[in-house]
Parts: sequence; structure tokens; C-alpha cells
Amino acid sequence: MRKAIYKGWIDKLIAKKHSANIITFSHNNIYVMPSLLGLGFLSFALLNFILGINYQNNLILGVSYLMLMLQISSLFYGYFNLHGVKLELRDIKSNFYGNHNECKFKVYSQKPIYSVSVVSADWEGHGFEQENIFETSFVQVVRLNQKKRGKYSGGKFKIYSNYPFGLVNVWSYLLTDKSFFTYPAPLKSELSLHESIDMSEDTELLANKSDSLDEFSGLKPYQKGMSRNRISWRHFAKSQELLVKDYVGDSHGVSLVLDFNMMEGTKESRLSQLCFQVLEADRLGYEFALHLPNAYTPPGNSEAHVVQCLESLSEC
Amino acid sequence: MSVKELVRQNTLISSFVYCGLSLLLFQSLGYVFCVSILLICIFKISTSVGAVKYPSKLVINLLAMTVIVVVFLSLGFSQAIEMFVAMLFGACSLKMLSVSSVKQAQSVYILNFFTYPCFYLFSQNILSFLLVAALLLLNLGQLFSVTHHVPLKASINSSVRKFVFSLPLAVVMVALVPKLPPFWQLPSAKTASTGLSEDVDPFQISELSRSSELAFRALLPESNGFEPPFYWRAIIHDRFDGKKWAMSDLQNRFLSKTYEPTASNYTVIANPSNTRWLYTLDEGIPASKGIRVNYFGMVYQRHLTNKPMQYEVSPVKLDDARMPRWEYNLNTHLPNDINPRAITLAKEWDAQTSSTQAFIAKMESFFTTQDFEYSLTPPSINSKDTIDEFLFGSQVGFCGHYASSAAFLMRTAGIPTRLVSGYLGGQLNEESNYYAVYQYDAHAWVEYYVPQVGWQRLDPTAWVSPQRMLGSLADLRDLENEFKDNLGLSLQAFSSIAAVNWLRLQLEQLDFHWTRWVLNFDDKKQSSLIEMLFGHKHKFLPALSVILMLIVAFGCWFIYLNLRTRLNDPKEVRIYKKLMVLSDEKSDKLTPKQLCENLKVKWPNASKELDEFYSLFEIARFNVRPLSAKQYRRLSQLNKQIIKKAKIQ
Repeated sequence: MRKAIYKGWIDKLIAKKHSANIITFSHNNIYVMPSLLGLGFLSFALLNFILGINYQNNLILGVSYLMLMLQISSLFYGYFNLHGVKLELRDIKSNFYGNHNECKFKVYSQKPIYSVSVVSADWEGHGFEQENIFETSFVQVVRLNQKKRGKYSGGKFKIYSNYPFGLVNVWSYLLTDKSFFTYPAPLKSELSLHESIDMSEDTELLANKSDSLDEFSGLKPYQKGMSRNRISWRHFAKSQELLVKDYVGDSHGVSLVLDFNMMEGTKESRLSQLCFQVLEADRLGYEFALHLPNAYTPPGNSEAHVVQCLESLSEC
Repeated sequence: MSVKELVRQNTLISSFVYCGLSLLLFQSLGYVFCVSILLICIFKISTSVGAVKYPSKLVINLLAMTVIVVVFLSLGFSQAIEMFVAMLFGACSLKMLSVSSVKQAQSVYILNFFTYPCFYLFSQNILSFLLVAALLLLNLGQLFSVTHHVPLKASINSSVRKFVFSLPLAVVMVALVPKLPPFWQLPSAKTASTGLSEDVDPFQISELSRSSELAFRALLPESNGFEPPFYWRAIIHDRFDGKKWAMSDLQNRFLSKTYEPTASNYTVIANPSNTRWLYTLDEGIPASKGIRVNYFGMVYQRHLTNKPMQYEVSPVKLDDARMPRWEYNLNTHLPNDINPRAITLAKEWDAQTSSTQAFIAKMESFFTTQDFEYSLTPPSINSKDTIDEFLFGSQVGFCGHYASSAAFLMRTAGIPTRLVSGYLGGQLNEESNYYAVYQYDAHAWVEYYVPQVGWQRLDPTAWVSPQRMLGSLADLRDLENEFKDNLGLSLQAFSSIAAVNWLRLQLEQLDFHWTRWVLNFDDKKQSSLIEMLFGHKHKFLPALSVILMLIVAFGCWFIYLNLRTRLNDPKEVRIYKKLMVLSDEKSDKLTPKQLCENLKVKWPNASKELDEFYSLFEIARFNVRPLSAKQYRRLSQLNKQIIKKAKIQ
């Protein structure tokens, strides 16, 4: 009970002090403690002290005091190693299940910093460890391994260092509000686009449309959000101008649907298949909608649309 | 350099260090152990260069067992401390064979902070101090190197600063932290190999092995009236078996006679020796803790130590006007049926004389008129009647021969006589005003008993070689060559060269101060230092002062480091930080642009200044081009205006 209260208090304190995507470390957010190695060091200092006292040996006694002073001054050196360092979380990449979610960090420092590690305190993964940073700004990546698809908040990242000599632990946190997705792992399956029945009033048009999927109608300038698969690279190579191939089908405002209910297998397998099909459909340049039990993504064929589909697949 | 490479390089260096330290302690740890550690070192070298593949755990464990057995057999429990240190060195050395990860390397380097100072258990002179200090620094550098994956040279550079910062603080702590008495008695290392022997058997020795090692130093206050020749008594020999004079059983019996003080105290700093017997001028009782006085009014230590030992002696005169019967018998006892010629001679003198003094005069004239010769390399005498052979045959010998013969002659005449061994002389160091006594100053003489008066000193060697009494053996002209031949290679042997002699004296002086003020800095010296610093009114101030000093030192240092990082900020950042105060507490998590926008919302009337401020700040911060002086002025001006406007509202 008491432990829970204490933990709650600590979490609240960290949340108050460390919630940011950019954090500059200073006296109010750096924590310093002797490390396990440091405690070992101190116990050998004690052993030397006992030896020095019993043999009345001033030199051994001196070594024991020297060790004590080294340990105390290490606390300061360790603190100043992180002091003034700025840590920025650039972004966290969403990725498919089985791959890493990469968190891009940037470390700014006016002075060299030794043995810095950044890891996620909430999620499994591996951060960058024991890096000596001699540049003023330095980009590093922390990789997270999620065990399940879904939407995750970035959570708490711990930055720590054992400088100097590994005798101390100096650490701080960065609590981000960024979130990321782990998409279902794509499962190879045949593309099964279904015409959306409730969307279309005119069966004739639909019939017309299904024929005209590949009917090329002309080029129009690329705008942000348009599917890259439709960029005419040939034109780009020639004229450095980004043009998008336009198809007749686009103009109709009616599209195809990937439907959860039409898939076979368990829920996860269906989602994985859908994931593959979203990618495949996007690759082929279809405009499609996604129908899930708890969500409906209206038709579209832009990159943002694909991302939205993948996100709703992860959240399903 | 990769981490693996760094660990490999550092462990190799450490292997060399263990090997070197063990070889330096060769005399204490024994050659068997030294050879095995040398082999381990060679093994390590071969694995490092790739000639041999890395040993498996089984091999390491087998080697460890072997080393334990070797140490155990060669040293055993009788030399507990040597065994302990040898095991420590052996274990560390073997560990170096198998270390492959950073974590393992770190733990060994932490352990080394205990391993290396063990060297001080054996030797504490300045050279050892410097050696171990340098090794600890190297060790710190290695710890840095493996922990932070930095090449060794750079690591040592950054470790030196941290080491040098801590060193003076540690020195002050040694000086001021109250000295505790030992918790328990630990076995100490036996290091000294020189010193007096407990039995005097001059006739077996054909060549006296002399050493120029320091035996002790003495600080004699001039007011004391001590004058050369200084006879430093150490051991009494009162049992003669026809060949050797054995140490008296009373040597470690406690003093049971009454005494009266004669002069003020003097101080002796004795170097470690292979016996417990310390040095006293005539008779004295200890005036400092840790030493004892024996039946003869001579001081000795309870246990052998391996560090220079400083003690004070209060000179006294023992009341021995009367002698118990058993003591008379003991000091006149002689074995039967030996040295018939000497017995005849002594009996003849005894018949001719009526007093002890007259008998001694007879003896003196015998030694001076005959062709006796003082030599450090007399022929050895192997016959049963050693003294006859010496007195009437070879007539060549050193102090032991003369003392032994004189004591024999006197005992034959019924005069209680005993042999004393100790040191004669001393070289005065004029700068520091102490007498240095060396092993080659070892001497033996005779004490005889006169009823109602007490024990008197008699040095028969002086009859033959009068100069021996006046100074150290080193000053004897006649024996110069013989003496130097015996010394072997040392600075002393070349002291005729002025520069060498000067160097020798300087080193000696340094060693004297080191021994006196560092090694023998005890609670007594500490309290006088504290009294000098704080006066004797304050009781708790000295103890508090250490803590205060540490707080002040670390506090000042912390402030300095803080200021330094702040001053390292570029000018515009410092100005910007002033602006940050205006905003809410979380301002350090915002970008400058966001902050300016926030402030604009808060104080709309300052928005123009804020815009200009941000544009200037942006140029300074994010364009590489630095601002001109004028722009800087404008920046701080704007800053002031914004703050002013914010305050008005």
C-alpha cells in the first residue's frame, strides 16, 4: 500500500518535471546516485581503511581517503556530464509488427559528453548505449520492440550515464506525449477488393468504373498527400516536374472497399491480410475504403489515407 | 578502437603490473610464486599476440588451484600476510587471462584499488609511495578507458585531473581525521633481513657481511649531555657455551628494579629489523606507547613490524648496587675444559691483582702490547679452544672476537661479565640534526659488574683499534678499502665522490623527513598539529573542521563548475535566459519561437520588441554568422524593454 502511494507520488513528480519533447537537463531534473560499482569501490575503501588502521599505515589510510574523495567528486563530475545537455525526441516511427519502432533523438551539447545511453522505460527495445558524444548535435535512434499491434503512447524515456569510471548513476527522464502505432504484420494474400454497394446509387456507373480502373486520362501536378505510386517518374526524369497520372475512375467518387467481414480466418489473421492488401492496393494505385467492425475509413488513395488505414487496423 | 581491443590492451598492461609488483616483493613472496606469476604473464602475452588460444574456464580453474598449492607450500600459514598478498596477486593475474567483457574488467580495476596498496604492507619508502601512487593513477585511467571506451592515453589525461583534485583532500583527511587505535592485531609481513643476530659466534664467521642499510636514526637533544662515543645497547648475551654467546633469557623479562631518571627524553626512529630488540643509550625506559622495557633497562617492541618505528626513551639509571646470587652465578658461569691457556693467563692476572680495575689494566696491556689486529675479514677458527686460538694464535679479529675473549678472561677471574651487542657510533646529519646509524655500525662489547657500583661498560676492541670508538666504521681510514669491498655496490661505497655523497645525504634527509612526518604521523603528532592550528581550547572544532572543509571545498568547486558552464553559453543564450524567467515554469521545454509567441499573447504591447528580438536571436543562434557588437547591444536593449513592459502591466 505504502509502496503504491510512493510509486504514485514518484510518477506524478516525474510527469510534472519531465513532460516534454525537448528537455534541457539542469539541477532540477538530474538524479545522481552511486552505482553498484561505486558501492563496491566504497567497500574496498572501507577495507583499506580497516587495513590502514590496524597496521597504523598512513599510506594505506591515505589511499582509503583518496578513494572516498574520488567517489564523492565523481558524483559532481557525473552531474556536470549531463548538465546543460538538451535532448529532443524528434519523432517515433510507426512500423509493422515484427519490426522496430524507431524513435529519433537528437542530443545537443556544448561540451563532450561521455557514455550516454537512452532507453525507453516503458517499452521493450534497445536504445543507444554508452555513446561518447563529441559533436554539438547528434542524432541517435532508440528501437522499440512491441509484442502486439496497437496504438501506443511514447511514454517515458530514460537517459542515463555512468560517467566517470562507472562509479555513479546519473539519470533523467523524458516523458513524451507523442504516440505511435504498431501495425499488424502484413500477411500475403490475394487482393480482394469489393465494390462498395451502399456507397453507389448507380449500378451502371459502377460497372463502368470497374472497367475503367486502368484507364489513363491525363497528367496533373503532384500535390502533397497524393499517392507516390502514381507519380510519372518518366516525366520527372525528363523535366524535373512532378506529375501525377490521372485515371478516369478517379473522377467518379465511388471506390472499392476492403472489408473485414469478407476475410477468412481469425481476427488477427484477417487484420494481417487486410494490412497486406492495403499496401498492395496502394501500390497498385487503387482508391479504396476500409471497413472494419469498429471503424470505417472513407475512400482515398493518398499516403495519408494509407497511414490512416494502417492505424485503424492496429487499433481494431 | 573497439571495446574488445581496449579490454585486451588494458588487461595485458595489468598483467605486467602484477608481475612487476610480485618481482619487487621477491624477497617476501618467494621465488616459487614469482616464477609462477611470471609464467602467467607470459601466458597472457602469448594469448594477446594470438600465439596461444584463450584458455577455457577449466584451464583457468586448474591454474588457480596450482597457484594456491604453490603459494601454500612455499609460504604457508606462518607467513600469513605474504600468503594473502600472493593469493591476491595470483588471483588477479589469473583473472586477467579470462577477462573479456567490460563488466569483468571494471570489477578487477575496482579490486586493484585494494590490491596495489597491499604493496605498502611491505615497503613504505618514498619510492614505493610514488610507485603505488602512479599505479593507482594508471589503474584509474584503465577503469576510465574500459568504462567509457576511450583510448588509454586520453583516459589517463582525464583521470589525472580527477586524481589530482582528490589527492590534497585525502592528505588533509589523513592529517585531521582523528586517528583510531588498531581494532585487532593482524600478522605483519616480515621484510627486513638485516639486523643483529641473537647469538654472537664470531669465530665461525670468516667475513662479516656488512650492509649499508640504515639501522635507525636518533634525535638527541643537545641539552641531554650525550656525547660520543654512542653505545646503543640492543641485546644482552649472558650464556657462553664455549663457542657462541647466546641471548639472555632475561631479554624479554620485564624490568623489576627501581630506577631514577637522568636526563630528558630522546627520540629514535628505528627501521624495520629482523628482531624485536630496539636501541637504547645506556639504560632507559620507554616514554611512548607500544614498546616495553626489559630487565636490563633496554627497550623492545611486542611484535615485529615492517614499518619504521618511532619511539621515545627516557634515560634512567637502574639501581643495581646489589646483585642476587643467581645472577652472580649466571654471569660467571663458564663451560668446563676449554681454553686452558686463557684460563691459566686469567688466573695468573687474578693472583697478581686485587681489584677489578687492576685486572682490566692487566688485560689492556696484554691486548695493546701483543700484535693484535682489527680486521673485518679474520680467518675462521674451528678448534675447540676458540679463544686460546685467537689470543695466542691468529690475533686477528673484529669486535666479537675481542669482546668474547675479554668476557671469557674476566669470568674466569670471577668477575660477573656479559656480552652486549648493539651499534656504535652514528653519522651526524647537520641540517636536520640527527644521527644516522647503519647496519655496518653493529658492534659488540662487554659489561662487567662492580659491587656497590653496578654494571660498567668495557670495550676491548677500543684497545686494539681506538679510532673505532670515535666515529662510525665508515670513518676508519685504515679499513677504508676493506670496508668498501664488503659493502658492495651502493651509494655509500662511492661517497668519496663529492656529488655522489651530496646526493646520498640529500636522499637520506628526504627519507628522514618522510619517515618522521608521514609514516610516523600518529595520534600524538596529530594532536600537536591540531593544537597548533586551532589552539587547545576547541574540543570539537578539529573533528568538525574536516567536514566543514570538505563541504567548503566541494561547495566552491560546484559553484565554480556551475559558473563555468553558464559562462560557456553564447551571449545571446544568456540574454534569452533572462527572458525565460518571464514565462511560466516550463519555458525550458519550449523552443525560443514558441516562447516568444507565448509572451506576445501575455503582453501584447511588447509584441514588436519580441518580434525583433526573435529575429535577431534567430540570426545569432541558427545562422552560423555571429552578431555584430551593435546587434548584440540592440538585443540586450530589446530584452530590457520587454522586461520593463512586462513589469508595468
